[in-house]
Amino acid sequence: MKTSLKISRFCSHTMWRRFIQVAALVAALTIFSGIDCRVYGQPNETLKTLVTERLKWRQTDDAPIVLDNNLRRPFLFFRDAINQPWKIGRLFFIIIISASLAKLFAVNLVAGAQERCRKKFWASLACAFIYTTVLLSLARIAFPIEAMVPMALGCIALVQISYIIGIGLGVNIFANTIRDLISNRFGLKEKTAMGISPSGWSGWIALVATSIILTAVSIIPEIGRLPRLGNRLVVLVAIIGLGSLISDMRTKSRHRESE
Amino acid sequence: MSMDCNQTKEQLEILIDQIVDAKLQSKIERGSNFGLDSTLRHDQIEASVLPFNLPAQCQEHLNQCSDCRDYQAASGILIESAALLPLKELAKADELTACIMQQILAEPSFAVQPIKASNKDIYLVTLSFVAFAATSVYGLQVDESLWNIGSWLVALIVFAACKPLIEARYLERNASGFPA
Repeated sequence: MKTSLKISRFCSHTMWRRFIQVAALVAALTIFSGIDCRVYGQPNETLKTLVTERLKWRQTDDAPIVLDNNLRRPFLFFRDAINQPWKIGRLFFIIIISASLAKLFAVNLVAGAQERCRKKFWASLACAFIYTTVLLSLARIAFPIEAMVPMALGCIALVQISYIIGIGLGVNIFANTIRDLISNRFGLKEKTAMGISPSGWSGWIALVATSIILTAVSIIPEIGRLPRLGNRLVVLVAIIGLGSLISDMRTKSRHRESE
Repeated sequence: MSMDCNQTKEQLEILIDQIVDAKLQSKIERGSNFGLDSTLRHDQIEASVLPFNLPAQCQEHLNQCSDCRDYQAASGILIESAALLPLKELAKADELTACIMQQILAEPSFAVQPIKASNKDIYLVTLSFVAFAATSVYGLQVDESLWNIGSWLVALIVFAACKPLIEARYLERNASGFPA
């Protein structure tokens, strides 16, 4: 048997294809984690030097961990975070990680959220708004009571984790939408029983393209006196992903109860 | 191993389908020879049923179960009654299906329309957004707060412009008959 044929058969096996995808993701993450976005403008720096410098910096940074007073006012903290310009390298890294993990390991979650978002767009947005407001209000109420500080921190952590998951789902929703649009326009449909197949390299290309677009959107600066419109759009993508997930879980829970 | 009622009824359904298909084919052939209004006599029906037999296990179950026998008798009466009906002009199966689907899609309730948000959803999103925006401007001056809310509102409007794109695939699937 020819070697090329052997390789193609090896790659076509579903388990090995998934393994190759995960390995590619791990390799990409390793390379990205070694790159500091602050030095993009210095072409002479090698990757090795960058990683060494970064390790040195970590070893000398022995400052104690102190609870920032700004964190005690979660609404102010989040508003300031949204009004600051974000580092695009880190943002792209976070977006691509969470979206890839969602695509690889939470296919059903993505499909459920996407279907819910398409059916109940406004309700999904409302769910995420309510979720954020309630959790941040709880954190704000809990912070003045010393005994409840851990709970307050937990609420903030929960909001942050939820938004990371939300952005992963939101990016997948938009990536699938973009891929569907392009497929329809150019007649490149990979039909399955339920529509267009979510697997395949077209899905990954759409995912990376959406992540790049979203990172580019975050660069949109203040317009007049309107603060950081781009960051808010990125947050809204996370909100729609999170809201769709909450709404989907709520609907499924209701169905289970009625059964 | 004996069959249960459901399996027996399934077998009966398959048998009925085979008989109906065979009779339709026979009627079409007769219609082409002698005119479309021809009907079948009882002996002809019996003859057309003959080639189709139930499995032995199914027959065994029928001997024991009165409920399934009643079902078989009812199906037999239905086939005989249907066979007595005159055969009108019969379109080809594909054309008939296409014609029926076209008429169904032409109904106003089945027409592909954008998903309209219910009033409840609109009130919910408005209230939640107001609460979200109000908390996000907590501790700011009024002037600064308004600009902050304005920025969220502009972002939300821009984001809402993507709604038809997101819904497009869902509408397309509904139109093609896939379940939601």
